[in-house]
Amino acid sequence: MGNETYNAPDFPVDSDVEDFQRFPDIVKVGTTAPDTELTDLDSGAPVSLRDVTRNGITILEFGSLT
Amino acid sequence: MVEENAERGVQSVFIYVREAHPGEHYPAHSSFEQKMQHARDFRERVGVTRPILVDDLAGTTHRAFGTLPNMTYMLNAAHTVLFRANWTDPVTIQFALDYHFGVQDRRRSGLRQNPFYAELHGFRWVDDNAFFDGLELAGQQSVDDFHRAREMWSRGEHLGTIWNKLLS
Repeated sequence: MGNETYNAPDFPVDSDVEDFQRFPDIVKVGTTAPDTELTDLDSGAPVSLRDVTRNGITILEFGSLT
Repeated sequence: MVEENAERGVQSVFIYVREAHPGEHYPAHSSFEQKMQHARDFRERVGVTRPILVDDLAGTTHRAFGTLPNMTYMLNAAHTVLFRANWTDPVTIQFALDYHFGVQDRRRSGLRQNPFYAELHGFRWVDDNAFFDGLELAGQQSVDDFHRAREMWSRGEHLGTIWNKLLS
């Protein structure tokens, strides 16, 4: 999936349905979560997700304005 | 909810991903700076006090965790997934947290416990008014896209699309 496909210009009906169907098969409970790098909105600094969770129980909520 | 759980040492982080319902006012991201600006607008409009971490333009983190628009994961300090849901629902998140702390309490009391696997079929509260307010904020295109999607779903056309892809 390229950038343009990921950042679809409209609501991606087909891929949305497929993503819901695929969800049960990835990153299952009891397994180690992926470690990725994000950007802190306040500081603009890169943040390793693993460094965030190291501090204890962490709830990750994914979303956007729309 | 965030404050109450913070007292128990629970961190809560919002990960800003692609626009699920882009419109004229909030289009699909074409640059990382635009994505950061949308995240700032989100924080101000919704009044988010949690740390917000912004995913890269390619959606690397979002795709690694399943690409769904509003999912939740609960991880422990070992980065192990304790709970996850394909939709963010405060009731089930609180249930998972309370369950986790119950396990810890029983462990501290000396009770022997073995891990096991469990699943839950969740039911979330649907607030159509708030949802459509969000679409209108994005723009008329967002509203029209969703009506079109809902018509497709009602006709079952999305099932045909998936079937065709499986056969191709």
